[in-house]
This record gives sequence, structure tokens and C-alpha cells, in this order.
Amino acid sequence: MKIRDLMLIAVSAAALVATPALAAGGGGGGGGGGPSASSSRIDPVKRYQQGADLLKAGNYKQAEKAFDDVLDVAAKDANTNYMMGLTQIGQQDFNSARKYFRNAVKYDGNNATARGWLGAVEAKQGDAGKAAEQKTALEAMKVKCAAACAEAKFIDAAIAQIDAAVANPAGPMLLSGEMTRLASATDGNAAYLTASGLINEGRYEDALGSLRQAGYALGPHPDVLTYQGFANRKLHNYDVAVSYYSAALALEPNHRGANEYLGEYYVETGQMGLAKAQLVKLDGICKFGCEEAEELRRWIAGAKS
Amino acid sequence: MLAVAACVSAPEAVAPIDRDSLRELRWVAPGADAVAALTTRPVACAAKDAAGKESRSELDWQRERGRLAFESPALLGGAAARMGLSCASCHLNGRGNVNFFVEGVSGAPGTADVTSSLFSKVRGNGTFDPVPIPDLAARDGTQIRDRKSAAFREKVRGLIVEEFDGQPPPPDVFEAVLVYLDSLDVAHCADPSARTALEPFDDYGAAFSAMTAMVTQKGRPDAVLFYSRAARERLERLHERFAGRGDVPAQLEALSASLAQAATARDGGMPTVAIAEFSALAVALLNEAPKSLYTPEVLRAALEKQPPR
Repeated sequence: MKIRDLMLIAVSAAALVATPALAAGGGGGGGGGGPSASSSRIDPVKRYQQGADLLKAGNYKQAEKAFDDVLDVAAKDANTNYMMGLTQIGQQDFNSARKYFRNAVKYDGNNATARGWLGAVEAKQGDAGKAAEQKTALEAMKVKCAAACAEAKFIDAAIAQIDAAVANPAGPMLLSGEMTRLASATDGNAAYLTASGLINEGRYEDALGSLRQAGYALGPHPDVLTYQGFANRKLHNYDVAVSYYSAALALEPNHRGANEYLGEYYVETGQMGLAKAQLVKLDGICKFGCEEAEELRRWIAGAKS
Repeated sequence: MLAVAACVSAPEAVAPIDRDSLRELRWVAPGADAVAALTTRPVACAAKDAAGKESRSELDWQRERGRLAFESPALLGGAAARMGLSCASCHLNGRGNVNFFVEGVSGAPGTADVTSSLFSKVRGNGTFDPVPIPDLAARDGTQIRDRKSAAFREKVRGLIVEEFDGQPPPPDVFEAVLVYLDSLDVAHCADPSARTALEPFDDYGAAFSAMTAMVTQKGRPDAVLFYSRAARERLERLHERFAGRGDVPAQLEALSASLAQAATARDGGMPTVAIAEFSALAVALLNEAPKSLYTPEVLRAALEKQPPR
């Protein structure tokens, strides 16, 4: 379009102003691919990956600093707590390792690898009863998984790890084998994309498995956390879903998806006032409109009708 | 004003851009000439407005409304709309896009897996099988020939509602899209291989056309809402490329708010203030255009500061 066309548009605009039918009663005007690129204030994803690289290189002190920075903004992130546990294993500080692995299990009870490490450390410290609790939990996961889920091999490895520690508590506890599980951001993006497809197919349990891999590789990423919330919501794990949405919004308060899905949760649970508040927030975030706001608007309208 | 517009200055210090600040970067293939990809388009080969007429015919306007819908994410749904994709992201000016690339959807640049679960809840076939994006103006027999046929209507409906999880479009919007698609033909182009420069006034003009559509569709709330979304999204494109350029971003935000308000007003009327804002915006765009990201040199400088993907 050239300047001549612009002038024609300006003339047309003037004509619109002069058209009574258009101006009447107007009442005046006035008055957001793969997810690895993060936009949070300290980039927890970038810092997490720095920590993972340092851990791979055996630089446990610096890795600990990196993960500590991440925990400053995402204290309840299971993967970061797990990574912190590994840095403590690297430094042979088993008390601290136990604390972080316990946190990892607390915030994600389905993290088989964290359960394996926790049980192994507990066995090493002579607490066979606690180690047995982890093994029992893993065996329950195995039954539920029925050897077909993506986590099956990790569950088996975790059980074997506990058994070995119980059999030989005085044995060395090193990180060498664990390093092979440290994934790259590329792996994380791929896992996230896989999860996105699985969610569209309604395969929410499988999606959660892929999202766990994505979170493990990428760290606390708002996109991953949001989808973890979404998949849990679809499985009617509402409290878990809200905790993930909250974690995503703590990292990125204006995250469109997390705000939309939290609003949908409110609609789903009949909390219409809160749902409308989410829509107001989204309309403020999306100054030029966005699909997230329109979808939530449709949910709210649908609930009314 | 013209003199100012003609005075292309050397690039000033420009802020780095990324895939959040300039959404179109999200689907430019790695390794592609991003400046060319973001500032040029394949030439449009659509039927032109009737020559010699002082005003457009209804068919002309319908085709224009169809183009607006085709180029708006509001026509799609799900992950595609959230990403900012429209039909025109793959089919620039109704043609192809050799630089299109979305991880998980594309194989080579310029291809897309149209049976991917990433964008569709119902079309996923579990196989990664991207195909070259076709030129919709190529009437070479590889696509449905009769674009007025029931089969073509169903094909387009399926693309919108199933392949891209969109809402069933308002009837006027759907009919307009069909008219636009039927107007595409390389026979309308002297040189179909040519590319044209993208200018700020392409988006400004589209926003204006969409605002006009809001007016002409008065009484049809769904259509008014749709075209308001299309208009506001075009303003967002301007906002992305005029970031930090004087009062332009604030003007765009104010105008978007006016359009949103107009779309939800019970009488469906267009507030006079929005039209005045629109006219004032043109002047500001003219003044700031040389320093905007529509200017290749400015865009290149910004891209050089882009953080690694």
C-alpha cells in the first residue's frame, strides 16, 4: 500500500466520521513453538540449564549456586529440588541431599527417580524403614503404570537403586550413572511438543509423563507448568492443577495460558466471580485481544446459558 | 508529511527483538533470510477491484473481508491462534511461504504436517508427515478446481474447525473467505514469482478495512466481534514494529481499546472517537515509519541483537 492509498483511507475515515449512522450513539471510545525461550525476570530456565551443565561437569559447588538461584523463585519446583539433591550427593552431603530429595517427592510424588534417590539415601543413613516406604510407593507406581508407561524404566531403576543401597548401606554413592539422564533443552522442547500433541488427543496421563521429562530438562518453565496444570485439571486433580497454575503465575504473572486455564478452572468449579476476574485480567494483558481471553469469554458465556 | 516519509534515516539504536516481541519470528525458518521473510511477501494474485469505479462493489468488499479473515488468527483456534498463526502465515497473500517453519509441524522450511495433533484435536494421525505448503493461487489441478462447490466449502470448513480447532465462523465471515479464496489465481499476476514489500500501511489499511467491516456488519454481533478482533490484531502487528517509536504504541493501544468497546456496545455503532484516533494514527505512522521494523535496515539491526533461539 502506498502513500496515495493512505490518503484515500484518511479521506474515507473522514467520510465515516461524517456518516450519521456510524457515529450515532457510539458513546465515546477511550479506553503474548518450543517453550525454551523464557521471559521471567531472572530466567529460571536458563539458570537451571546452567546448573545442569555445571553438574554434568562435576562442578557441584557452582551447580548448587545455580539451583539455589532457581529455588529462590521456584521453591516448590520438584525438578530443581531433585537437582539440588544431586549436587549434594556430588559433595557427599547426604543430610542435605535427603532434604532436597524429600522436597522433590513432596512436590511431585510421581517422580520415580527422586523416590529412588531418597530411598537410597535413607538406606545409607540406616533408615531402612523409610527406604521401604519409598520402595512401596514405587511398586504402587509400577502397578499403575503396568509396564507400559514412559516412566516404567525409571521406576524399575529406582527400585533397584533402593535395593542396592539396602543391601550395602556402606557402599559408595556416586553420580556417574545419573548423569546420563541429564537432558538438554532440545530434549525438553521435544518432550513439550509431544505433550502438546498428547493433550490435544486427550491422553492426559501420557502428556504428564512427557511434561515431566520437559520439566526435568528445562526446569521451572511457565509453559510446562501451565500444561501440567491443564492436564491435571482434565484428570480432575483440581488441587494439583491449581498448584501448577500458581507456580506458573508466580514465575510469569501475565502468562496468558495460565491465566486462561485458571479462569476455566473457576468456571468448572462454579466460581464465576473469580472466573470473571481472570477475564478482566486477561483483557488487560491482551491489549490487542487474544485467543486466551476469547476462549475464557466463551467458557463464561457457556456457563451462563 | 511526504517529505518526512521519504527521509529514511540511518538506523538508530534499536532494541533487540525476539519471538514474543515480534510474533512472526515464531514461524520463520532457522537459517532463512529473516529480513526478507519479514519485509516482503509473494505478490498477491487475487482479482482486483473493478477498475474505474469510485467505490468498491459489495463483491469487492466481501473479498476484502475474506482476505482480512484469512489473515487473522481469529479465524483459527487452539494452539495455532494462541501462537498468532493465521491462514496467511502459511499462505502469504494467498500464496505459499517458503520460509515457514514451526518445530514439530514442519520438516523442511515451507512444509507443514496438516495431520498433526499439535494444532488439531481431531486430525492427528500419529505420523509426522509434513507436505509442501501449496500456492493457493496455483490453479494447476492439484487442488479442488471449483471453489464454489459444496466440496470446497466443506474442505475450508474442515480446515478451520477441525485442522485448526477454530470456532465455526459467522456466516458472513465464512462466505467472505470463500469469495476471497475463489479470487486467487496466478492468472491475475503479470509475474507470479515477484515479491512485494510489506509496508506499515498494509497493516494500517487492513485494520481500517476491518473497522469498516465492523460498521457494515452492524446488527450481527458475532461478525462485528470477529472483525474487531481482526482489526485489533492488525494494530498489534503495527505495535510490534513501532515499539518505542514516539506516541505510536500508546495511540495503537488506545485505538484497540476503542474498537474493543465498540464491538461490545449494544448498538454496535462505531464511536466517533475511534475514527478520529484512526486518522491521527496515520500521521504518526508516516512520521515514524522509517524508524520502524518495517524498514529492512532497522529490522536487520534489531535482529542482529536477537538473543539466540
